[in-house]
Amino acid sequence: MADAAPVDDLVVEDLHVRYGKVAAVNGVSLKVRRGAVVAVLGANGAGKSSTLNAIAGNLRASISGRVTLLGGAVAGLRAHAIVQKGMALVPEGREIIAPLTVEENLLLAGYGGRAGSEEPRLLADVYDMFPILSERRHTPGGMLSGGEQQMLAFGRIIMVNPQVVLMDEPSMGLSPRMVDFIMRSIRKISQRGLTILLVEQNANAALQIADYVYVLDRGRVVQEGAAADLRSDTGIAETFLGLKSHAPA
Amino acid sequence: MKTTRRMLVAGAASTAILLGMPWAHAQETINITALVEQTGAIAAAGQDIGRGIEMGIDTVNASGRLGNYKIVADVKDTASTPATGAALASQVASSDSIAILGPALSSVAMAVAPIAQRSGVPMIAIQANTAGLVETGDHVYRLTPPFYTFNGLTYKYLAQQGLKKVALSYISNIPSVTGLGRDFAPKWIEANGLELVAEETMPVNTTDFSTTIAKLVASNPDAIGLYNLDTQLPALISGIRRAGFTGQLFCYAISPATLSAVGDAGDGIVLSIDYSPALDDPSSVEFTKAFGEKYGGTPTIYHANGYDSVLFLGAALEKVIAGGAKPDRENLLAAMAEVAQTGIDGASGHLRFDSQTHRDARVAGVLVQYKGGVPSVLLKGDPNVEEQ
Amino acid sequence: MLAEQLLVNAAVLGAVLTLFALGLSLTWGALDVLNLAHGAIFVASAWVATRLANSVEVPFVALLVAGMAAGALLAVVAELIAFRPIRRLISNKRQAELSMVAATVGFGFVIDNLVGRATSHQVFSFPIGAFEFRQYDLGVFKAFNIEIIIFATAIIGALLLNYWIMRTRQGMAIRAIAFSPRIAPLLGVKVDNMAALTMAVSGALAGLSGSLMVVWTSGMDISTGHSLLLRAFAIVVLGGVGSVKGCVLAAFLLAAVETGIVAAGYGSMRDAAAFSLIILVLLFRPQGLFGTGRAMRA
Repeated sequence: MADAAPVDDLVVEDLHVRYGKVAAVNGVSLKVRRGAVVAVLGANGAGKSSTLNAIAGNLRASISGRVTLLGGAVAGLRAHAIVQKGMALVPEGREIIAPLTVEENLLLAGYGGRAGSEEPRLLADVYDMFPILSERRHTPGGMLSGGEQQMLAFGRIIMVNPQVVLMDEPSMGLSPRMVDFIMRSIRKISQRGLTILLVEQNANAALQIADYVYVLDRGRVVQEGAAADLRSDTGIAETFLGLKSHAPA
Repeated sequence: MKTTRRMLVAGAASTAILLGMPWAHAQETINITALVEQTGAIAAAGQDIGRGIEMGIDTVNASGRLGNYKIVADVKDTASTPATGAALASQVASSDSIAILGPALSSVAMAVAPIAQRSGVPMIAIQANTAGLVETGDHVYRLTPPFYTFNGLTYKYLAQQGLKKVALSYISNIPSVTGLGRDFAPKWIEANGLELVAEETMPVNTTDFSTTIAKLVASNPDAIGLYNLDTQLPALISGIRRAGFTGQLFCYAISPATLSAVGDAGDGIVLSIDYSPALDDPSSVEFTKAFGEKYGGTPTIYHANGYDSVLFLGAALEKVIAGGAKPDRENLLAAMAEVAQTGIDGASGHLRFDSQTHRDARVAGVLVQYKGGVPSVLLKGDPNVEEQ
Repeated sequence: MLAEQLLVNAAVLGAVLTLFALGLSLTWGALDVLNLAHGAIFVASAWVATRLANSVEVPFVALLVAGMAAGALLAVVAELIAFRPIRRLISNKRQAELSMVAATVGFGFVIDNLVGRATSHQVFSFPIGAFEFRQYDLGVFKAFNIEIIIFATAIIGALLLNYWIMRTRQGMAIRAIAFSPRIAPLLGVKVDNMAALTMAVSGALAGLSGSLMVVWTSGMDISTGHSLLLRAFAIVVLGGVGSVKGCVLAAFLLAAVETGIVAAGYGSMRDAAAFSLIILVLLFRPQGLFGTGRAMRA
């Protein structure tokens, strides 16, 4: 997995996010290496979502800090410009365009993103990875189940064809069986060569697939390290993640 | 030598004294207010009235008839809205303005009249064809004869031409125009032995007339009357001609812009009017010529009405000043009543006043026909009757 | 004979209303902007076309194109100077929408004033000869070439617009923005560009309907826009905001009702038709015949 010369696709330095007087993120720094799956964990209100959305250009707040994507600075750019530069966000709650069909949702992502001439191939890949989407390709997005919507959200990201993918709570509201499937899908997306930064409240699920983990508390990084190490450090697991001690994966 | 020096000194001294005296060469202003519909529903007419007033004031001031005085008009926009007109009238009441010229829109004039009457400001309405205006009180005059006093001439003409069947279109929500179509036309039709075969009404903001046109033409008339706003006429006239009607058209008002827009379709249209560039009364000819020299082009009835209102005001002011009195509201009003007994000669020819209130203008009127956009007088009204 | 002629009248009136109302429905459905300057843009575009015709001799189609271009330009100006800044500055959706409507009223007022001044508030028209009228006897009824052109243009225009919205990528993007202007950028959609494009199309529709109407009525003035705007509002409410099908049906329905009222002799009450329609729809089916809330649809 590690390349001869490991490169960081995404570097965040000293990120601050304030909503008016309230500071949600107090100087977060993190790095995401190419091809890795990096998880940001923490309790509710720790600042995980704010961090992710600030990086994606999807936040209306006072933001400061440096964000370097694929070697270029992107802090302050608007969402669609960041997509063009190679980073796309799967937002919390999936946010499917309900009146558009499954296929229209996918084609729209192909139109707005960096698919270009690759569009037909990417579309085939999506239907390959998620056959149920192919079955329901003419169904309006609003009529899909929660799990199908998450698949569609992933499908859209594939169509956008970014290098870096940000995911905001992909397991939210899903049954344990679905969560499993989703986590495996994220792995598959990673295997396509994409770099993934995901925010999760379900630390258990995230630790299954992450390579590296940051733990946030009150807007700051309080712990980071290889996922394997964190899994076996029961102290941290309990204190910050609310996990009971469990056997290493 | 001594005499010459004394004369020089005396001459220099008296000149110095004369130059020093303030009243010897200062001009006094007579302030009046013109309430004009510069914007809104009748802006086109309002703009012309404003220009007519301007020309009238320049003419009166330049004539020297007012001695040391000159009229200065404060022109205010009523926006074709009664509420605005009323507010402006209240302002006039507490100012040093001694008269109100206008408004032209009936609804605005009706809002202004009671205020003018109450506060003792003489008011000379222009156009404002509604009934009941001058009846508001002795301070309220109207310098434009109401439509119904001369539009009967049209029907005399139709009968003279041997025509019989008349179809009528008229606006349903402007009282003066609605009255023409609903109340007076049937009277005139009957009086002249004609027959009403179709009657179509529509609100003033109508823009689509295809159904109206179809119904009018389907009634197979000899003449079609269009008591509609000038802005509605292009659609009506061209539509009626396209539908195959070759008979006589008549209306109550038409602009050069409309005539140009419809071209041949408008040829032969007739209307009874108080002022036309084709009028041959000496005072009309003078006005039409002077307007052309000053502004270029041909004046409309609105220019003429505005001009005549100032001529009337000027005649009254002349009386006040000649009699050595101060030009104020009361003296002006008294002079106006005097002038109204004999009338004036203006753009619309000889303008006199009605025998009931003595404050509502009357003219003989003319029937004009347009060919190639140029009017010619076909029939003249009888100057000895108040209603044609 | 009269009845067939009335049918033609209603069809042509419905066609003019369709073209005009489609533009209003498009921006209201896609951008959540009730563009009350639409009537002013309609009149101003028609005026530009007549000015061109009075200056140079060009084919009639060129005049229509000029009208559409003028309409598109004015609409894009509105987007750039009014809507875009408001969208940026005001984060509260409701407030932003209200501010934009207010901005359209101001913009429309300015345009009306400029055109009014340029025309001295008089009627303006194409010069005689810019369009040759010809009547065709189609057996059951007679129709003028301009009437056929207007009807055909409206039908084709509606079909093209529908295709654009429902079948093209741009249309998907516009429908996505209509549903959620927050999500579309996450897929790389340039909302500002799509908004400008939508406004341009809406303005072009206004310009097209204006240029056609000024031929049909042999002249118009700035008050024509106000009358049409009211009826367009009724049509969009009746048809359902953002629904092309609903708009077309509602336009012809209103035209039929108005024609019927005038034919029956109640011409003075024709405005009541539009007003009553608005009230009835808002009372009993506020989403309109084909509306189901915010979004664009066929």
